[in-house]
Amino acid sequence: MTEAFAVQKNIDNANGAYCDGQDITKRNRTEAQLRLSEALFRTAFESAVIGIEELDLEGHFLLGNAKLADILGRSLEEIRALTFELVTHPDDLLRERPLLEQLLAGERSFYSMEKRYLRKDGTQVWVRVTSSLTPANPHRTRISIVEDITERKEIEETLRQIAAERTQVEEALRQTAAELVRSNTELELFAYVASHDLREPLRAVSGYVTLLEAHLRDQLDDKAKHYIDGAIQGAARMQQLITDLLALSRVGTQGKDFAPVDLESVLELAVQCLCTEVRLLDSTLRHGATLLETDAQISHDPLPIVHADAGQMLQLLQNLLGNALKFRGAPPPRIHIGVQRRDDGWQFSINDNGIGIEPQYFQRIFQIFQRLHTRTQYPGTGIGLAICRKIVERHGGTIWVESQPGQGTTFYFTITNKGTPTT
Amino acid sequence: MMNLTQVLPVEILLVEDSPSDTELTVEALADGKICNHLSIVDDGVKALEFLRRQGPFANAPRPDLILLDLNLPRKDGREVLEEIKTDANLQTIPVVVLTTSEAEQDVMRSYSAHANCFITKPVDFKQFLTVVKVIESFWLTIVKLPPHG
Repeated sequence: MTEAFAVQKNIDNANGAYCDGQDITKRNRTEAQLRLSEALFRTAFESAVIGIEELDLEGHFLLGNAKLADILGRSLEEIRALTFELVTHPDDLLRERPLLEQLLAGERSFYSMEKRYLRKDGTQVWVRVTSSLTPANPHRTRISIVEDITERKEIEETLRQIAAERTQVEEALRQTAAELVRSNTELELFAYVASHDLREPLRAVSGYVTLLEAHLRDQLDDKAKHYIDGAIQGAARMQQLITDLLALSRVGTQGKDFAPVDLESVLELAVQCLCTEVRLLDSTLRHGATLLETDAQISHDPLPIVHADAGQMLQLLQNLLGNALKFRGAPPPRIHIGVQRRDDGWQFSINDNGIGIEPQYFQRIFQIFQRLHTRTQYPGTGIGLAICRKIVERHGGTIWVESQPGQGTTFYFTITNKGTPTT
Repeated sequence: MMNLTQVLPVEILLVEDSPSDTELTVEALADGKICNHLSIVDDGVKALEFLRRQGPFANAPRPDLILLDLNLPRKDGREVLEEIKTDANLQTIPVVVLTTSEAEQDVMRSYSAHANCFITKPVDFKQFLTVVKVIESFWLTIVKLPPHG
């Protein structure tokens, strides 16, 4: 920096002295100053950290500094035997020629471009060349500043690759999202078909068998009536299965956005629903447990307001409470719903004094169609807890069970703020 | 003064493509106490031709009540409902959507198109019988229907 400043100062002095120029002593002094200034120029030229080249107007190298030799990977002698065209990448030369023509024609005072020089060892080096013409002395020449920008180009290239990879990842994500939408649409369609087209033949079975029973009323013996009952009950079970499967598929596809949900009122509603639903099921399906008939007691900690899908919270509590009642032991059912604050949300527990579950089944019960009892012992489709797990997972939580056979069962589930309401 | 509607049989149009559902509905209505005359068409195009007395239905009676299934061949029940409820001559006829669907979008769309009620057919025949009887007693005895146009 100091050197560059000194050079600038000398130029000014030189010019000033030159204009003055009559007195010999003065001229001698001026010549001495010129020599000094030339020496300074030479030093600056030779030790510059950027390449400097002087070329004739045909493109032959006349002069170069050490840095230029370094950039081109050649000795200065070798360079002086070349033209710039021989060491410029052909693609870049196509861009450079018009610029050079404009410069030579006086249409521009300089040009500046990024291009690749070809080194002796066959590698390429990215440079920024800024070129302008010198005054006639006696011939006009061209001086270029050659800046090695390989590092910057490499960074740019890396950034371009990262951007390209990112675009690829984004494209893949877009495709996955589109596939998800498609498969969700298919699933919804399937659910609809299941709800409609599977029920119609079921109604036909149940209906015609009932009509048959009425038609043959007096001619049927007990055995025949038993067969007819079997057919009607089979249709009813199939119907329940379809309803539960639909409910399972709807957890993901028909879920609502999350909003603040007061679990106190959800619990109240769940208990109410259990009362009526159990009574209804009892009359048609002969379910075992009814909340009304039992002297069940349900207690709970103060329940919080959570950010969740209200309908699914109701479904979750209803399923877990329903299980606690269904798998009751001999004493009256006692159910307690507990709550614990966690860093990322809430942990709930539903504790009962029912028949309990053997530890080897702790995982299995959350899988679809896994049942631990015969249908005569405890009716059900084996889908309820699978629905619970799906709901809890949609709310960013996990569900698990602790139990001792004969002592009771505690279901735990968490609701965190990491849930994803989008489907 | 005599009320004619109590003397003339009540006209019901059943739009249903499933033979078994049709037969079960017929059985259920036959079981009822109200004197009714039931006409049956099995697709949406025929339903509208019947209502507009077009083609083979030139002498069709004007129904007092329409029982409409949603999933029908050719023109589905949703479109039939929309056409009935935007037709000045037909829009006063009560339409009971009686379908196997319990999909929320079907319920919403039906009411948006001014269905008079939406009922999901129960699978269990005894419950189905009850539903048909409730429809019959509500729409044909409790409700005051518009006079014949």
